[in-house]
Amino acid sequence: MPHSLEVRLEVGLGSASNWLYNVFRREAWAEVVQAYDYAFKAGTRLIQTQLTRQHQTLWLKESQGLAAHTAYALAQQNQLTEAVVTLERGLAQLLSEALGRNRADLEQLRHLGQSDLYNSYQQDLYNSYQQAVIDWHEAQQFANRLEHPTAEQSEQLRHRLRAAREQLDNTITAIRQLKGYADFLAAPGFADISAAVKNTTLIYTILFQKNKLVFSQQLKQLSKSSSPLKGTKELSGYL
Amino acid sequence: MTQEDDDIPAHIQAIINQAKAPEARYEQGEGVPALDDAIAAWERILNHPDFADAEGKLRLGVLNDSAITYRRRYRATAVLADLDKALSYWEELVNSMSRDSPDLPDILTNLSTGLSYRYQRRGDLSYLNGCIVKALRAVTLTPEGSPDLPNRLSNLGNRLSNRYERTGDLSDLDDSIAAFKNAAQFGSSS
Repeated sequence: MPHSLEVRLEVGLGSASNWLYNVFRREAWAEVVQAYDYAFKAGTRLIQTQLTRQHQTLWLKESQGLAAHTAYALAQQNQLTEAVVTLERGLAQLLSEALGRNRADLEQLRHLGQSDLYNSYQQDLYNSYQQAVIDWHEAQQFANRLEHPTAEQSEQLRHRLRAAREQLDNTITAIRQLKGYADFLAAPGFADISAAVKNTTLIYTILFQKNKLVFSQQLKQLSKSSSPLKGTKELSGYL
Repeated sequence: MTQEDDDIPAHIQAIINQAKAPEARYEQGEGVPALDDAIAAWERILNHPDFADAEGKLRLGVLNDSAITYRRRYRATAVLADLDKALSYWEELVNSMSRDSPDLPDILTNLSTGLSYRYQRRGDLSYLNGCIVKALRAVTLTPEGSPDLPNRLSNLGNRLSNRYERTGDLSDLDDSIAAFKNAAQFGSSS
């Protein structure tokens, strides 16, 4: 297993995306899911480290469609629960409203922390989050300055990134323990989706050039059907 | 690549600065005339009698950076002669650099990218084949722990994908999958 650097997250995300699309062509469904895991983690880390930046949507746009392809691959393997979660998580990650909400949560944390001494812990968490992100970006700038890194410099880079990552993860965990912050930068699970759906039936339709795949979710019972894609008229009738 | 070096003669450094300044203006949106100015300055260095025998970092930096400027102008104007000029400088560097030069993977990557533009323009498969050979060599020469490795693997994967799309050869698709997979594992969380 190669060492993970996390220093070129955009490249990591792009590569995982291309890996995913190419194994999808090969209909290697299990590997599609493996590739998505890398893409999702890189996307999550990009969101965490760019939350306070406004111009972060280019790579987000480029990662559209990954979740749908992966959900299709999961459904092909009859992993319907995982397919639903993947679709919903993918949508949640891409929704600008979700990003905006997380950004607002972070800002609220800062304002709460500034309001009185009792809330200084919130201010500490906000500062810790910001410092972890600064450390992260500084480590990346350090990497950019290294024209031909020695083994020692590469290890130093790995150490800095690991330290920033741990601080970021620990701070996010601590923020989630605050009242009202349980879902800060959190991905929805199947229980969250089921709770949101309640007694309604959701039908997921994934369309590709050659095939369509439809599966529905009603509480915890999932079913799937697929057929060659012939046209939207037939699809409407099907739904 | 930077040529800021104490060994560079002051009058050459002054012309390098004259090339860099319009490049910076171009990056700020000034347009093709800024690239024309930059290339005029690069040409003054390349044709300067004191540059004829230049070696090492100076030769590498001037040839590579002027090639990048030519490639930029090609991207802006689609004049093929600019791309060919860039390719000729990178070819010259690759042919003259020692195999263990730490700069060689960068130059090979630039040459590979330039050849991919040539392929996109003319559709001649020989350019794509050359592009893949250079990209593969760049990857092979890059140390495992290098932060540049994901980018070079991704570049290789893209070119192999291009050839698969052109020829339908499944071995290219499989090789591109391996390259992307390695790039993702090096570049992302695991």
